[in-house]
Amino acid sequence: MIANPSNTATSDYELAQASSRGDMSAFEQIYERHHRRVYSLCLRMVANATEAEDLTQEVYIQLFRKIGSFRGESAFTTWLHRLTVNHVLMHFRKKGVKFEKTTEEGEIGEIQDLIQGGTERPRYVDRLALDKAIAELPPGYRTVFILHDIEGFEHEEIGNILGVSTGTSKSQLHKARMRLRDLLNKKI
Amino acid sequence: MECLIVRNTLSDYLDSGLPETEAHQFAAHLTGCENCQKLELQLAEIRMAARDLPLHTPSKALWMRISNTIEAEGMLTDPRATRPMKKETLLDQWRNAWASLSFPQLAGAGALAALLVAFGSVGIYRQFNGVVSMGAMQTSVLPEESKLKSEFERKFDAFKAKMTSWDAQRRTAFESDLSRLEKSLDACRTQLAAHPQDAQLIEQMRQLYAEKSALLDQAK
Repeated sequence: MIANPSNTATSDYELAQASSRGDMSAFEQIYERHHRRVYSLCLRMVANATEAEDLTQEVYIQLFRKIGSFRGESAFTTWLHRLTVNHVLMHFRKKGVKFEKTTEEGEIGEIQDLIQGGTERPRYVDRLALDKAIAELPPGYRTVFILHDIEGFEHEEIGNILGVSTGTSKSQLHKARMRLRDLLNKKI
Repeated sequence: MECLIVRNTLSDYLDSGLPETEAHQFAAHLTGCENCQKLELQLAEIRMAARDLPLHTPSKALWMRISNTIEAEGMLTDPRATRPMKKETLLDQWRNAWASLSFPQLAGAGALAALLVAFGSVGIYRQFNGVVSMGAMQTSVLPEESKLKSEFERKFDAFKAKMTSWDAQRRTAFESDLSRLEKSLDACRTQLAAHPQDAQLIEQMRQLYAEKSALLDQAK
């Protein structure tokens, strides 16, 4: 799912063990290794830099509390990213962010216009433009797109995390991609 | 296969989520339909690009904020330990209340505090004119602190004998509460040294001494 930087001198597991004993320099190394990915994940999910920094801070404080429970059974990055995703989703719940309701069959009418084939395909997808377009997605589509296409979660996992069916997760992903395509086409 | 069906389930096809027969029908449709083929390529490009997005960097101060919070919350000794909820002292409550205020509320509270300090200073000056000068107030953070301190110590000395019959758990809990109050008092004293006229801090100091005294009464 997520690459584990296990080729580094000290493994994440060793650093996690040292951190659980209160070794702040070990914890700082963990921070250095992963903070950009954690922050990027938070930033993409909330689409607000200040909020993303606050969430990253909260994630690392929670990580410090829980790090002793990491047993090395999965990749540290996977574990950390799940912790981050759960924390951000908890934040959404506290804020009362409502996800879009979608039927498993999807909304056929919404993409009817595409049958006309009027829009040209972009020659290439500019990563920066895509990053900006993701921030413009409605929260529900954005979350599923980030979890599936960026973080590599399976639909079943997403369904469990978000408390929706696998079909809903698939449907929201498809709509997210279609919306991104529209947004990117508009920018060309 | 109709275009509408293809377009509605194209992501499933791209993610290899369709049964084999349906996937073959999809492939056959795409070969013969230019519009659906365009859409497939566009979505495939988005899907590929999403795996390779640039990483963002938070501000450099973030690590400092994290490490300061960890230290301030006293998690360094044993982060795995489950800690009981700390009983909030008046100073803690006061800090939390300030932290939760919005900017306009803070501005209003600031103005009110300034007025209180101004009127309070005049009142105190008039009341103690000739007894406690303004200069003396600057050096003594809380004029009656020595009195409050000695009163508490006298009470505590009489109380110490009872503590010998306590079990270790009760003694630790009591000492921990007392130590937190002492720390709050120290923090309050430091702030008061920087802002000797701050009426709220002065009141806070008095309340902390009252809390210390109440702690002894409760323990009795």
